[in-house]
Amino acid sequence: MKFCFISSHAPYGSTLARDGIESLLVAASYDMNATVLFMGDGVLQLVAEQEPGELPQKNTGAMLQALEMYGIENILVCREDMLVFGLQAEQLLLKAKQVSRSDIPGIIREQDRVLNF
Amino acid sequence: MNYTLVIHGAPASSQSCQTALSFARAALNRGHKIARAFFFRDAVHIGSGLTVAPQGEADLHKAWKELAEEHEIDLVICISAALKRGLVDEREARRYDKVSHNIDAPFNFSGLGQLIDGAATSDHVITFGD
Repeated sequence: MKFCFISSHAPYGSTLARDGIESLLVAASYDMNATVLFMGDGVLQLVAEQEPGELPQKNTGAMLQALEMYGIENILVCREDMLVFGLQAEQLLLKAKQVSRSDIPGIIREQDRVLNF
Repeated sequence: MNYTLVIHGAPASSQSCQTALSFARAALNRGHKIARAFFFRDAVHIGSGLTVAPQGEADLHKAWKELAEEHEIDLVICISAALKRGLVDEREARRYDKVSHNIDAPFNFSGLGQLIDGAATSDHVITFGD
């Protein structure tokens, strides 16, 4: 079953990003075909070399690096929202597929279930 | 149709629990089924039997409890979100040596697996954010 997680919040101002990643990992461990889409402020979760230790908070970037180990390969990021924050592909902590905002409705339509964080 | 609702917002400071409740009532009135409501993040406060609703305001704990009992809705409180907010059922109170507990049936404690399972086994899943 195709599950899409839409993550649209920045990593440390609230626990929404972390709660989303934890749910995503549980979906993967339930053998769901999981996709994660980072859009809006959520693209900031992908910035490499995060150091939230002083906050102090768990590094959500490090959690995202575990996605591959969980077999989650469909990692999408909205290209226009990367531009908003001046982010280039080489500044991301993992290899995400860039999609255009106009692609997103089609991506959502292909899913069986969608959860928002 | 069969629905699982995922609710994020605190009952006392967000419209989330009320909107989900209104949606659930409307869906049930039209003959649909609400299989599960999964209370996540600040929405776990819905389970506390110790809240006192101000006069003239809706008692959302009681409203959800009554709706669940009448329509057999599985009310799940996310255990990890609940424990760090001071919401415990009898078993967890014993385990962590707490003086009291505030979560009782029909609200029950479970983990994120119930979120994924509910979403997968219902026809639709809807998130009610903060």
